Amino acid sequence: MPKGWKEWEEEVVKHGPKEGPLYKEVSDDFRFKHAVKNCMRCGTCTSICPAAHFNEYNPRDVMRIMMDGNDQEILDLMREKIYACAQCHYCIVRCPRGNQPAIAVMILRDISHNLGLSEEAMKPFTRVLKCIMMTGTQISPDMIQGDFFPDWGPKTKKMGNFIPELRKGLGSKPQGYDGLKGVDVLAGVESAWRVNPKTVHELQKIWQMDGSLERLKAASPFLAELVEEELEEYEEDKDE
Amino acid sequence: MSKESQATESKGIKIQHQPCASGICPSKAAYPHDLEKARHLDAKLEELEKAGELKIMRIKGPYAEYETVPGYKKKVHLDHFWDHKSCNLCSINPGAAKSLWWIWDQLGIDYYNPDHQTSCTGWMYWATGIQSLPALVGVLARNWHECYTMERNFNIHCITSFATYTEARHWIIESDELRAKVRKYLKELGRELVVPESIVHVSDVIYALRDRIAEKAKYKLDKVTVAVHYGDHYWKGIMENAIGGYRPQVVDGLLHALGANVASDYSAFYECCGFGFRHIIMNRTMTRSQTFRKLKSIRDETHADLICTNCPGCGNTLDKNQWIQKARPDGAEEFKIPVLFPYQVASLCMGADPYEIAAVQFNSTPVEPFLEKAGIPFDKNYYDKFKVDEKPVEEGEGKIVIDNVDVTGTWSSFLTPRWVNKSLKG
Repeated sequence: MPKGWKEWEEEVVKHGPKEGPLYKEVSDDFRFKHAVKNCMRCGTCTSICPAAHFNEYNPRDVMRIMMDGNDQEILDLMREKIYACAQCHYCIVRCPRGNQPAIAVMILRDISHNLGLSEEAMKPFTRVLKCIMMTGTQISPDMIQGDFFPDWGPKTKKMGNFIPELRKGLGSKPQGYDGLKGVDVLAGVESAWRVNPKTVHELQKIWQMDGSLERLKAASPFLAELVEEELEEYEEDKDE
Repeated sequence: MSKESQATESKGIKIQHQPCASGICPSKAAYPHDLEKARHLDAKLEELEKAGELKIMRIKGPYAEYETVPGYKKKVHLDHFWDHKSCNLCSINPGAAKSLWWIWDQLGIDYYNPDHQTSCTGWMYWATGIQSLPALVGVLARNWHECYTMERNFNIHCITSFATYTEARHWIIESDELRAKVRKYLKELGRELVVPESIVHVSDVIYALRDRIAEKAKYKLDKVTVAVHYGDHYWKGIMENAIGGYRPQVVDGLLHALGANVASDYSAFYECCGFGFRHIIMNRTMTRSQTFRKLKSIRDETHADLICTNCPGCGNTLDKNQWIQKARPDGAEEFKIPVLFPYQVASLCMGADPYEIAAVQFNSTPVEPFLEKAGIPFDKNYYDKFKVDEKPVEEGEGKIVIDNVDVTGTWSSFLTPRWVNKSLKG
């Protein structure tokens, strides 16, 4: 299986555009039959799509390409357009034929990782990725600082200085915390709540067993290495 | 297992079962495939349990039953919660999570706040796709099993988690290959595959408890107008799981019970808030442009004093993108509509402290005007203790400085709808 843009462009030319290996990858996904039924190209999805409102993106086109099975067009979609979709799923509500353009986009995003075509798309997500892989929660309070979000206005900027102090006590309450012995789960700013390290390792282990850790290597080799080290340490501790 | 029939019908409170005035809401008949899907999944789940493929996590204790938008009957648990926290709420609006726990305490509900819970990792799926589907479902099934071992009900705080768990339930029932993979991962961790009979969001629970909340309410919202927005991942695409008539009604129902003038019939009701997972991080130009469409419709058509939403992502997007609309190149727009989650509204009405419990100080758009109008007492000098030595930002050519914040460049850029013909506009 080729990996990377150049290799895939050559593959598409070699095979010809119709129902080539790329289309096979996409249509073999079990979600495909739920997402792509029989689009009559009425354009309802495009008329209500927020992404189409502002970007050169068009869910009706996505459906056409999924039905035509043109590899060159699928490759073009994967380059940039599929990342315009906001995954609001309004197209799913509105489609009179029960098609799911947003899920078709998810299949394309998913497969683009397997084919080594997602490096650019992952760049802005390193911080969120690090947070989920190392703490078990996706967002942390220390991400919300005025310097990172000046467009969120003066109040966010000002109160951002006091977040650790403001969070103290919000997560501690004797009742309902019997398993945590009164620990303040919301204290701290490095993770959304305190996740037990054993549970974080279970999450990392699932990524490792599944092969998502290999995908992570392409997006952030440093982070993947860090996760592997943690997993090794954990296995050693368990053996002892 | 007992059924609390009283909770299924509200006491004399009229809920929106009629088509909306604008006529844009589809009827129940528009979703036959959703109803069929939900019934098929339930039947297949039972078959899979009989075949020994998985175990069903059945509701413990009392539950209520409600009709969802396509007409499916959904069970909502009422006690013994395993609170599946939201990373968005706990990080950005911890007051909403705190309000929930406070309400459970006030109503004498038994709950557990686990530390053996991970995020649903939905961002790694919906935003980027880096996490494959089997890994995503594996992580979710790990949380399900953890809840199962505690013999509690899986109570989801986040809307995206709600959609992700609903979809995961669908996929794991439908795909033998996926189920085999996930079972393998869980076995490796010493766990087993358990699938809940019903996926419940905490706004469903609050809706089911609305009469008990209203009974304990010290303050009524009869002086305020509240515009409602539902997170896209509460209902779009998973209609079979969203409680409602012609459209979702869980937030409307709570607000009606608290006496508010509910305004959910504005033209942009169906619009997305602009959060977009990827967009809120790397394409905020698109986010704030889309948020503007939503906010303008709410402000001009409903004159709302408050926006209430059950989605953590939408709440933050609608709250934090109001101030920057002052930088719109086609004319500054002023928005000052506070945004709260239904749990914060409920706790405030029940007498919770606005800063200690509902933690409204975390909001970017001040909530105090709403509190004032609703007659909810608050400490007027609260912000005096937060002093920052702010230096004046230097202004210069090409710089955009608003309220002493430098928003030059992409921080204040906006998108124009792509079909606007610029040549016609001159």
